[in-house]
Amino acid sequence: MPSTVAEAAGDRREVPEAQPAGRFAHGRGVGDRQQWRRILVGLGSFIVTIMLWYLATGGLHLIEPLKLPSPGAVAERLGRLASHPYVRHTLWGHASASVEVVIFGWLAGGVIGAPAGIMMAWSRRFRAFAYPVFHILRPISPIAWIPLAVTWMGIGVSARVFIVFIAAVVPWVMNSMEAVRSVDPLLVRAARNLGTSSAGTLWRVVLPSSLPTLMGGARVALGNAWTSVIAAELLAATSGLGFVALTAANALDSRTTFAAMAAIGAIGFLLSAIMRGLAKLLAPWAKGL
Amino acid sequence: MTSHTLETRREPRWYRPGVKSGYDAAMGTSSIVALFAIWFIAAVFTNRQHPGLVPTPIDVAHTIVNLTAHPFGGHTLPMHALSSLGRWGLGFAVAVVLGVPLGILFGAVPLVREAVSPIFEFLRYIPPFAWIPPAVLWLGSGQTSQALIVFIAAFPAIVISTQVGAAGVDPALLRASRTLGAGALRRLTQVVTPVALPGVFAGVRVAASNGWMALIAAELIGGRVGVGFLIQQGSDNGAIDVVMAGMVAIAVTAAILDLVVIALSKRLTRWRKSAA
Repeated sequence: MPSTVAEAAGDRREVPEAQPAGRFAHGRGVGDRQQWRRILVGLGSFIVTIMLWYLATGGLHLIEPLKLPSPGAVAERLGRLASHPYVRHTLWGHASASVEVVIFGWLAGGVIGAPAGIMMAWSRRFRAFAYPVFHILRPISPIAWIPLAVTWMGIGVSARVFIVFIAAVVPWVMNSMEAVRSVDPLLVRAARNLGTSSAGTLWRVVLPSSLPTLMGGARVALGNAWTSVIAAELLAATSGLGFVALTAANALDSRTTFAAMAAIGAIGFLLSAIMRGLAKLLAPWAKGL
Repeated sequence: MTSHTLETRREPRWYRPGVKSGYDAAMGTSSIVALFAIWFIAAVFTNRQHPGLVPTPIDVAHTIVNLTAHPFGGHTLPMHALSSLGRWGLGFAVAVVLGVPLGILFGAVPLVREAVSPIFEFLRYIPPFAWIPPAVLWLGSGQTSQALIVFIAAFPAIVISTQVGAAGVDPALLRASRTLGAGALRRLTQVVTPVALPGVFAGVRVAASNGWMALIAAELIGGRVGVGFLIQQGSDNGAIDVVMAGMVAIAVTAAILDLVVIALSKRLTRWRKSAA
């Protein structure tokens, strides 16, 4: 029974990343021409999508603006929100409110989760003690904590940071464990044999070689954090992009809702790109990040 | 990156807790006992100043039993859970029915994949919860809009894992079966499906849990029935024991759904030695 439950808790909050097209079909050496073709096709499909969106809404009025405003209207509203406040803040204010909560919760998750995961992989005693607790708390989705967090902490920043922390800490722990565990045991034994202490081995052998996986965990954690902050803002906030989207929807202001969603998508993309860049910078020896 | 993520999601054998030795079992049990003891003590202490703010584990267990017979927020706990499961099932089923064929199409026809995946990729950066406001605009905050949220949360994982699974089929196998006279349908069912199935199930598993999570969020925001609605009601009425009972129900349901997907995947990929 416990082994099945252990499987049940496989790291399921990660959504598999889409593969860059063509890698599977053609192997690793995708030629330059193919790359260009892909970019062109992708760009073309973006243009076609926007055109279809425009035709359905502004051009032919197939969909009423309340359900889906035209791309132009959304872009115009984005521009307006950037300079005119909506519920006390401009777009920048709301965006920075969301990002702030994400950074705090994500950092807290890393500060607690990464060492915990590393220790769980490194020390059998610590793992035997800590893993079961982690294991029974983990199936409780971060979303389910929201009402509790609101009752305990109100709808301030701390409740949202708590939710983001819960969402971020799981990938931090799982990937840190995995990272340490995937280190070649030969390296560890060699280091120990040559007289390095346990702590020294951890610091100078295990950490550098597990950094790529750790960074992968950090990226997944940040994605989870961004996802969960939106959920938390729908319920427990008076600022933030999720709050803007829902408030506007309740006021039947579809333009602002979609403008907020565009901002949410753009920031999600940026955060992911930053983490990729960071991974390349910190662990340039890693492949496939 | 995908193959990598899919690999690491599987739980390695070495840290399955508590089965291999008495030592692990003893440590595990004591840590869980310690967890409940700390919870109990914390509850007793906070109850002196703020009664009801932190119920003890015993209170919560009591509430769970109570809720199976006495309705809260209009329904008993099992009824709330069943209602949520119904909407989850609807959204999830639609996601599988649309997502698997689309994933196979993406995997089989590079041009379609190249044309659609940038759009798909971009939309994936919008968290499923962010679709709750437009879903409210489109369908109100009723059952259909909640099923839509489940669909939106589950769909990408299914499409992507199916695509990766289908694209991973060795072209030589396809050519060989074609030479031997297998038609398109037969190649799909007898060559592509068996190879792609384990990967598809990895995605289905992620999708099932994502969908459940998104449904809870949608129920917290609007609705009249469901476990998410139940914990929101508990929170609004200051009944923390009800909130915690609901959280337990949400976690247990999530675990059961996951076990069902795993069992199904094992059953359908029996021929594989190391089925996911």
